[in-house]
Amino acid sequence: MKKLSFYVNRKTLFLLFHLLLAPLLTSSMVAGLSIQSKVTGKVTDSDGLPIAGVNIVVESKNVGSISDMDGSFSIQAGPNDVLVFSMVGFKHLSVPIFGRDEIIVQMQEDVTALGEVVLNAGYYTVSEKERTGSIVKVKSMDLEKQPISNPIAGLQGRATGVQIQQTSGLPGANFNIQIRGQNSIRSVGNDPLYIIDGVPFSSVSLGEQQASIALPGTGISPLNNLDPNTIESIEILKDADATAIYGSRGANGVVLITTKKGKGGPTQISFNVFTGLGSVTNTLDMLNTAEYLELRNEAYANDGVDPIPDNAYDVNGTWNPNRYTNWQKELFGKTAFMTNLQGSISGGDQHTQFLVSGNYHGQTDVLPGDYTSSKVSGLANISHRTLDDRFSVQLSTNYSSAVNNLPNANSMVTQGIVLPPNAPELYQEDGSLNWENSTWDNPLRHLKDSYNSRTTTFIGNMRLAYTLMPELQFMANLGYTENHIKEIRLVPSTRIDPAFGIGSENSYAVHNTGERNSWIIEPQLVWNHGFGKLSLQSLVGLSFQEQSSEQLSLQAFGFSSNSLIESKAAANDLSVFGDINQKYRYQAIFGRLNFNYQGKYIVNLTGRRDGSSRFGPNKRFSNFGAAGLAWVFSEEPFMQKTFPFLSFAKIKGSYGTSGNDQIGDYQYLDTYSFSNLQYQNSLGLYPTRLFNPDFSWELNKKMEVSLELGLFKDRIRFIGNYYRSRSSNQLVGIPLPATTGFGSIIGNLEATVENTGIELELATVNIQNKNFRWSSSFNLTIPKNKLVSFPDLEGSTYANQLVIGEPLNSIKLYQLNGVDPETGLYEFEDFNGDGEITSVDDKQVIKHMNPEFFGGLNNSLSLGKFNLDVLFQFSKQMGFNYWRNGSIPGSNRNLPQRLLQRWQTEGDMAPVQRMTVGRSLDPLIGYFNHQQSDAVVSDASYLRLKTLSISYTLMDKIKGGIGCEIYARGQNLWTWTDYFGLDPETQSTQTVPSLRILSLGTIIKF
Amino acid sequence: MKKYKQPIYRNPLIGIYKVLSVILMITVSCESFVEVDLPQDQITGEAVFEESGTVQASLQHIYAELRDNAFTSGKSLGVSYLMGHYADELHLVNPNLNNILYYEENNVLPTDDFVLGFWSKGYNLIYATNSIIEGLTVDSGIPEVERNNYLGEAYFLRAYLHFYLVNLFGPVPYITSTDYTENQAVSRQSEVLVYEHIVEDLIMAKDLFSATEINDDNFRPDHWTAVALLARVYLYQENWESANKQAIDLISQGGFELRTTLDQVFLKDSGETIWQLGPGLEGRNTHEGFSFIVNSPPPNCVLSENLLDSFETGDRRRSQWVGTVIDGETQWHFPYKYKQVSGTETTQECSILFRLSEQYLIAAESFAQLGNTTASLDYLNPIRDRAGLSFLSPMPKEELLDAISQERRVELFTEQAHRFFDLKRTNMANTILSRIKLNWDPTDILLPVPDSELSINPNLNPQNEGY
Repeated sequence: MKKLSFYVNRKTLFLLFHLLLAPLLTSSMVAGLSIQSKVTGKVTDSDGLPIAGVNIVVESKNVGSISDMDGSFSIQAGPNDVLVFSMVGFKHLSVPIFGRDEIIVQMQEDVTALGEVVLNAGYYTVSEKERTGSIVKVKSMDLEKQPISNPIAGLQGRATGVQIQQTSGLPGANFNIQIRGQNSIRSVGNDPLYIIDGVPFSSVSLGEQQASIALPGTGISPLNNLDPNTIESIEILKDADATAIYGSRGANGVVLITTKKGKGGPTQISFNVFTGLGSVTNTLDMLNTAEYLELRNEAYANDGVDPIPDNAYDVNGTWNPNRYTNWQKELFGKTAFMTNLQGSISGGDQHTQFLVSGNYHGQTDVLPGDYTSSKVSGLANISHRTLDDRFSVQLSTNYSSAVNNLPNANSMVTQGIVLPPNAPELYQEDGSLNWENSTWDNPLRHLKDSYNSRTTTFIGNMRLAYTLMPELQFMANLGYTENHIKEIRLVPSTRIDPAFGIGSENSYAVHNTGERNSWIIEPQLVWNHGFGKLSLQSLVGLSFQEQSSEQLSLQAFGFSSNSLIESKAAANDLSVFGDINQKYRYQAIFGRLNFNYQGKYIVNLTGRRDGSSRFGPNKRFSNFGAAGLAWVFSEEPFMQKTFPFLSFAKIKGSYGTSGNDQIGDYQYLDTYSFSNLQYQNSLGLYPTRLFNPDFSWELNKKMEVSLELGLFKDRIRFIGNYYRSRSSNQLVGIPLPATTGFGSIIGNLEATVENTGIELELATVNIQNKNFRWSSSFNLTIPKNKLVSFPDLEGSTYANQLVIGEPLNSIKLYQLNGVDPETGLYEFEDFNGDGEITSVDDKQVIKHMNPEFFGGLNNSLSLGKFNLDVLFQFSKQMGFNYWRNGSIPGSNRNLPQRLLQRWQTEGDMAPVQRMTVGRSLDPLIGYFNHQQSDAVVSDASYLRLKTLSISYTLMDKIKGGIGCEIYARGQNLWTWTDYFGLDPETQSTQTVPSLRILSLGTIIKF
Repeated sequence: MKKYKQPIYRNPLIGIYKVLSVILMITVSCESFVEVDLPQDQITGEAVFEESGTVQASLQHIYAELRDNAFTSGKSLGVSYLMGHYADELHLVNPNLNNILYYEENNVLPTDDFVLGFWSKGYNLIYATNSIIEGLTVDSGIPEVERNNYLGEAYFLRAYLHFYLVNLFGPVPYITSTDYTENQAVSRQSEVLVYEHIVEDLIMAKDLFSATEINDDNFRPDHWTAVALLARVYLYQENWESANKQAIDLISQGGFELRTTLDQVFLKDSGETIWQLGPGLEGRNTHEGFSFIVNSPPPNCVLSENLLDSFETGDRRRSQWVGTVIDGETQWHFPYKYKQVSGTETTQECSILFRLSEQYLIAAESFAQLGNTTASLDYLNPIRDRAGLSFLSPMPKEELLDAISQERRVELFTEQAHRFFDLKRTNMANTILSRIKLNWDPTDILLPVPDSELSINPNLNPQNEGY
């Protein structure tokens, strides 16, 4: 009996359970299967204009539709169902059907659409309102308003905590990017992690510096191959809460790039064409011929050289003393042209969407000669959901190919600045280069020293999602990337004056080919569940990644003819200077738990366990994790009562760890390498380094607190963040006694670097009415960087470079005390009082090279069919000025106007020391010490009109079936600065400064 | 009923649990996933010792370093050049060579770059020898005879490198392992102890080298090189009998032969060379030639008056091994043992580290010390004879030792600091050098240990006296 009753009980229990479940099941099954009817309708905005592309779903069912061009829609739904309308920029709207067949709805624009903004946090998405981490989003709209070819350029002035510096105005030039400061003591290893559509993308150059000498930096960056027009949004993850899920790679922040995806609705074809003109933002005020010759003669007199030597062609009358050429204009003052063509087709229905787009960008530069760089890219993606919506697949491919052609631009710019103003004609009458009887090196010889690179990038990615159970979803992210580079630099003998008789046997070419490919597989499970008022989102996933790179660079020297210079086979001598072959493997398990209590209290826990082939055997796996908390206190009833104007208020904070694995491959192994020493015609093998089984990541602990406020229905929004991150376990060369066989071991040292900062953002909608809208946003970052500790700094290789308590980016210099009125020589502070100015002891002035603060101010106005966007970008900073690489004042090189204020006779109080041709020792020493003194660092702050964009909508697409918009855009239009040099951003007189670009374009949509 | 036993929706937690356990299994089983192969341009230590070619290459690297960058190099960073100035062989003419001037004037500082170079390059190469010894000891798949020869070379080199360290710096650590955790805190060992280790290693090397397989080109040390160094080391230890035995063994059984004419001694194919350093590429000649030979005056450095005066009249070495260049009134004399300044079609000369003459002089000295004057003269006179000097007749022991010392001076001048080491081991350095060198202090007998080394590893304290 007992057994029976047990069975009965169990049966009863089961029946009870089933009864409880039945309503749920039946309602869904019934609705899903039987009483369905077609509901049609129309969606309009508050002005009654139809809205296309609105997402319409039947609440708690997997049925959806999208509104057409005229706002109309149709959907299968039951009479008791509720339709939910959603569209970015509008408030959600739920409309019960109540048995109607036709429904007309009007959607309300959302003022700032705060709740609608969905942020991509990499493995998950989160709404702006409920995020616990620090994520900045830059939308395609903002990127598109700038005539740029590298998407990184579009982030400047738009994101707090992100410092971006252009290295040159040349096409293809790299950008330095730092998110919340420099974490690693090593100058390499501060790059953020880039992820494009879920696929990690290595920003490490495959280029060879010997080849790409025209471009500053360590070779051409793979990021140049990205096309800003294909990007939907860029999200930058900054704090521990957002980055810890990226574990050992998240320490320097994460840049998530999402490409555009097809949107459902009628097929849309659009074309966007623009052409632009570019010129350098600034040139230096140099001496004219009369002033120059005066200084030169004075220099000879000062040095007591009389008569003026035969080889001083500029002053001794060999060159026409009345000739004047503005060499800056001649050598980097041309107008650059650019053309951009873009076309795209997108469309689909609620189940399948696609997008195909192609882009061409061509650009010349400001240097003489005919050099064109171009970039062609294509993006294609398709996404599909099955009818029952349980399975979805998204496939996205992105291909781009870029060609860079440049002369030896750095030398051209240098020459533009230093050539004497009376230097001879560039060309002879017959059009050949004029060498003026071998009295000068014609600067156009640098046109012969040319650089050509071809790079291609392929990024393919597939996302699969399958709903296992209503709340449980399986997802997989599969990705593949491939990068190729082929570079060649040609240095033919024709760059040298033919009078020297140097032939093609001295020509050479530098070749470099590189390839990198990587794949990633990331299976994930997502489980979301509600426990009453508490909702839980959880995620667990695995990651497997492999990346292999190969690079071969060689020099081909000596040819029988210069026409064969590109052929490696024709070279007399081939020498390999790099044959690199590396593999990197990585695996991880990661997870997230997010608890949300009524949208009021939110806890976000993330973690990752990482394994990487870069770490030594004892440290192969590591754990990282973070906790984020947010309290949306505007949701509290008392707040709503007390501060009714406060539409949104949130306090959040996070703490956690992440790591930096930019530590090179194989660095822990005690391998043998081939030596450059030979013995009896064969190469030796030598032990490369000591075995370090504890070789591991740099650890970064991040803490953040922030306050977010929305006032007057979010018309005023404020975000304030305070962050502190401490990086320890720094990878440096730890000095060892030589008895170990080596001077140092690359290992993790308990040195700590601290970055702290305040980030402020203010966004306001100043005026908003039917025809006019004016909104502003302002952002400001005040960063601080400090070396907190470094054991045995004195004994290390960093002894003369770093100071504890000072920022990493500091420099030690002599202190310039001015010019001695008696001698006319620069005077420096003799700190150790030994009567001599000597390095290291007398270099006691510490200058900080990081910005004190930086930010941007953006204003957007729309008046009827006009749209105006104005972005100002600013940075308060110190930087290297002209003096850093200035010429010897008085030598045969031209000088800036302000050097006229030089010391001439005894008693002169002048800022510049006496002119010298370099024949007297004292002024020469003065010059060299001056280059190492605090005079080379001065204010490099600037305020720049970064972007100005005006557009006018000629035709609205919705009304006429064809839409047309014309626009004018400008980049770097105006710069306010006291900087003494070419450009406060590049801070170099040896490369092309940032360009001022003006463009005109048209967008047509069908 | 049955079909209801399967609930339509299972508890999702069970699903998660199952998936998690699968994930965990995958993770655990995939730890080897993050192991990667090595790149082509690097080889693991293990792989190096699996093949003869790579073991040879790692030894060749050490020889190339000895030729180009370590103590024995003929460049101005080697002991021939620097210690030649430090003792009484060379005189610096170019006043701008400050770093050499410190040696000329016996004012070497603990921060000196050459000192750091001697020390750190020495220990760097010792690491390389230890790495070979440790690598070859494991079952490495190289035939035993070959393996023993490589081991012999490594043990020999370890001894040879320590020999220079102990002579330059006095007490030094004798390093026999690659473990940096151990080697970063080592202390200095007494000179006696270091010499004992050197002898141990050399005996080991001598036995490991197969006595039958001799390198014809003398570009790598072999059994007889170990014997030669052993003879030298015993001599330095004043172990006359052993020194004598090794030297006599080598002279009688080594198959080497004194060249009759002086201009053949330093040629590549000279029959009296026991070990010489091969060229990097065919056609290159010695660094000594480049460092010493003066083509156009003024020279950087010349032979000291003192050394020139010490040649007996009629010594052909004075005319054949000393070069002369004339600058107006001034005559400059320079070491001219090696005649080639630059490259030639095929290599003519190589830097010689061990040659038979030294062994004759070791035999002569040890016989003299043991009281056998006749035998001593039997080995001294052939060297004098070749230089065109008369045979010496028997004489009292002290006089004979002086004669041998004088012979060593003019025979081995500017070769790997023989002169300075001889002065040092015979306790004559103070007497002789204080007479000639203004700044000579008794403590100058040793170079200072690099300052940076003492600060990184305080166990190396105290610094040598006088610094």
